[in-house]
Amino acid sequence: MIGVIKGIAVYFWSVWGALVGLFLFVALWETGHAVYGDFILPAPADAFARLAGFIRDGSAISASSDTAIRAIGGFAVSGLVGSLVGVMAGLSITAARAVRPVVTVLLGIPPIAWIVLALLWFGPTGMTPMFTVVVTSIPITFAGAVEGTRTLDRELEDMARIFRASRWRIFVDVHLPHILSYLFPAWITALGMGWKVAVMAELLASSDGIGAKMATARVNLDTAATMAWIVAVVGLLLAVEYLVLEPLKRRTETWRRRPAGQGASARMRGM
Amino acid sequence: MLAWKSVSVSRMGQDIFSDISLEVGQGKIVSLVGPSGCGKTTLLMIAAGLIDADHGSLECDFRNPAMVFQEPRLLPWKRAGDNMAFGLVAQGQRRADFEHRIGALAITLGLDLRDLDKYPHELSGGMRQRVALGRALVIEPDLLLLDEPFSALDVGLRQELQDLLVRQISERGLTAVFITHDLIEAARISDVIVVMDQHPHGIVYQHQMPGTPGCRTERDIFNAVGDLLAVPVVARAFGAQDTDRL
Repeated sequence: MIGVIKGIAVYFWSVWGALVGLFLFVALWETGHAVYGDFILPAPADAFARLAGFIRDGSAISASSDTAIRAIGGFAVSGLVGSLVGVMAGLSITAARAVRPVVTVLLGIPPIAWIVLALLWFGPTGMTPMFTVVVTSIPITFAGAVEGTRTLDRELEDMARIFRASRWRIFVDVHLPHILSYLFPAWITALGMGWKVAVMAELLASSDGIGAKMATARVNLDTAATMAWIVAVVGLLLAVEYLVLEPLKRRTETWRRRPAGQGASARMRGM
Repeated sequence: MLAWKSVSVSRMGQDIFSDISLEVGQGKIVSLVGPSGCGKTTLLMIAAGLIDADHGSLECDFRNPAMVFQEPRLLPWKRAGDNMAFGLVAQGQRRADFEHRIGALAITLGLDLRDLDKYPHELSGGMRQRVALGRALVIEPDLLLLDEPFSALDVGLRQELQDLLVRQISERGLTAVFITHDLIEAARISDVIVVMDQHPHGIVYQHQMPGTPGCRTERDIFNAVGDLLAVPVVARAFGAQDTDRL
């Protein structure tokens, strides 16, 4: 119990370092505002005030939840399908060879092309951003799963077989932790990208969600509102990553954690 | 009894060895020595059931073999204690039943109880190998297969672990097959030394060591090694540069 409390305390203490970076960023923004003025770059305080206004009138909550459902829903689909198919492809060299060019093609198609296609197929509905998120993030989770599966340690498997471990136990104790250590960074990258793609797709092809709100702000030449919505997107992304994915990753990967600062650098590589 | 009966193995069209027969008696420690690439490890893998011989057969009366490898082969995501318990868990035993056995064995092997809560990357090489040894011994095996388990350790530590191992083997009345390329190590801890050479020579010499493993004096050990190297086929197997190194 004490260990758990200590763990939470240590986790939040490590957030201080991240906060320093965030505040530096806001200071830079303030400098930009001082140089270029209100129209080009409104003051951070103005943007936050607009965001507070959006939160009060309820539009922030409804727009964010629309975007979140599309980003997280699309991420869930691509995480599940990409990881499963990737593991299967990793187990068979032939399958990996067959699927690899398909993945390269998928990665090569720019997200904007998918948005156009999705718009033609689904029209200006919520399906367009969600579909775009799925197709653009599936190659990432797939590649992570293939890499994890292809690099499985044969020597550890031999060891487990000598100790007469069942196939199920070999999978759970020997293979799965290794694959997960490749999947987690891929999932984090996919989620981060899913969020951005969802907003972009909404901006071009949707009538609700944060992206659509930004499109409206652009039409009205309302830079403060645009910045407010950007802050909302980034805030949501940070919340999901630091409150859900990062603690989950720490829990499952204590075995490779080095003391001092390793989590932060691993995160940056993940982005 | 463990016996390889005229076994042959080839990989990608190349013979690793052919027509090798060897018998390991109950309660004996047999050392397999020879240059790398002569097929020692392959023989052990056959005994472990990891690979099948292309020809010939394996006769094995032992029901519960365990193995220690050159590298510790610990699961990096499991604590040392859980790594030691791997074989027991694989057999379906319950944690409550073996918890105290793990602790007791860890202390016998020179591990601190606190080390059991550490992950492998937090332990030194010697500690990791002790954990690997513990993982093999805790399932109370009747046959112990050892593939150069100490070759990555420095000399002092190596001798300490050799003594530890020999004591455990004699206390438990185990049968052991021990691969090494170090003749001195072989002379120290085994009942029988089997010298292998590159294909097509196969097993070139078998030597019965006098006395009890672990109780020999340094003088006896060095004399035995000297006598062995005076045998032409053994000297050839070890080659000139290996003889220099000894």
